[in-house]
Amino acid sequence: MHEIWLSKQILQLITKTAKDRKLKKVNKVIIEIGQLVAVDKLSLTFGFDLVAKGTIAENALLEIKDTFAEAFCEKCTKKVSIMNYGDNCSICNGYSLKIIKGDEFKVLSMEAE
Amino acid sequence: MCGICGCSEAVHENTSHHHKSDKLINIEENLFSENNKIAIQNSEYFKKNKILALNIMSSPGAGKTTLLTKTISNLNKENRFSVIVGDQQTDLDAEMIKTSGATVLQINTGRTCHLDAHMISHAIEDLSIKDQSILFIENVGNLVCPSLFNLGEHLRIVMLSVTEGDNKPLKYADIFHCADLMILSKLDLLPFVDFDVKKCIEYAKQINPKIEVLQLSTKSGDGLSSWYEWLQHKTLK
Repeated sequence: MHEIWLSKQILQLITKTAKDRKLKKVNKVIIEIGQLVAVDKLSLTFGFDLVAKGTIAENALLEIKDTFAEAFCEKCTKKVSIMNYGDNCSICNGYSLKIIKGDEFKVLSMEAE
Repeated sequence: MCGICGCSEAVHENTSHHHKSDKLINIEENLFSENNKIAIQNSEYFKKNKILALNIMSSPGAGKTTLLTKTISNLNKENRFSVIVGDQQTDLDAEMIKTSGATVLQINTGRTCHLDAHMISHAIEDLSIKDQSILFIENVGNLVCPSLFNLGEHLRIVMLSVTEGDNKPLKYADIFHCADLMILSKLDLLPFVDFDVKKCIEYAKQINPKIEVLQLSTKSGDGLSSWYEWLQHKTLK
């Protein structure tokens, strides 16, 4: 549901960047979404297309790069891969995990003319 | 012509779509950075004025408004409470909480499913919050979106009523992962529902080992004294 809000944030950010650099048209926006972030990619793309209509980014392609999640196990002091919050350590089966990767949500770059 | 954007100069290399005349511009900016900037300002205001700001989140109908009304009615001897209440529509919750004697501000979010730091920054301008008081921010009833938005609060509380099912911490992990306290509400209804309290707490701790847990019923009054003690303990001095 918040994907429209997020789409507007993306648009705001790229519009400002384009204006600062006197660019006329944004053709592609590359964003990074960590695996743990509660964002639906299809809704985000749909929302972005919608809010970009009539702006400098109309028809721009929204490319999404996924980041896999990693956590640090405080018990076995090792880095482990996880899929979701609440997953246990794949080595010791414990739950003392500290997220170190997978909660990113940022605009990496854009292609514009 | 490019099938993706309709322009005449597109090339497709390695299946990626770009234009020859395009410049690649690095941005590297967090999408929540604008929200987080305002959240930091809110948080500084709260700290400076010794206001304990609590962000209360739950699904619709878990009993946030009832708990706040009861809490403030019982503890509001020195008018120490303010409430910001978020709903998509109506000021029904604000009207109910006002009966407790608190200063209340209703935010109608319209189509938005959560409160954000910007909305809170305006609300605290409009509310005259007393120093050394408690501000409850009753978020929009939703177990998903509010977890993403830092409001500048000190602590986050997630409320779960026993009629909702004991596996909610696993199903809506994000919100339980970011909460400091889980309140299990409507405890008086336990005899009528298949809700395993022990299992629910286990699930919540699995998602968030540091989460504190309180159990209460605003109807019977069970557990309210522990909740009041918790508030007392967290109050900024």
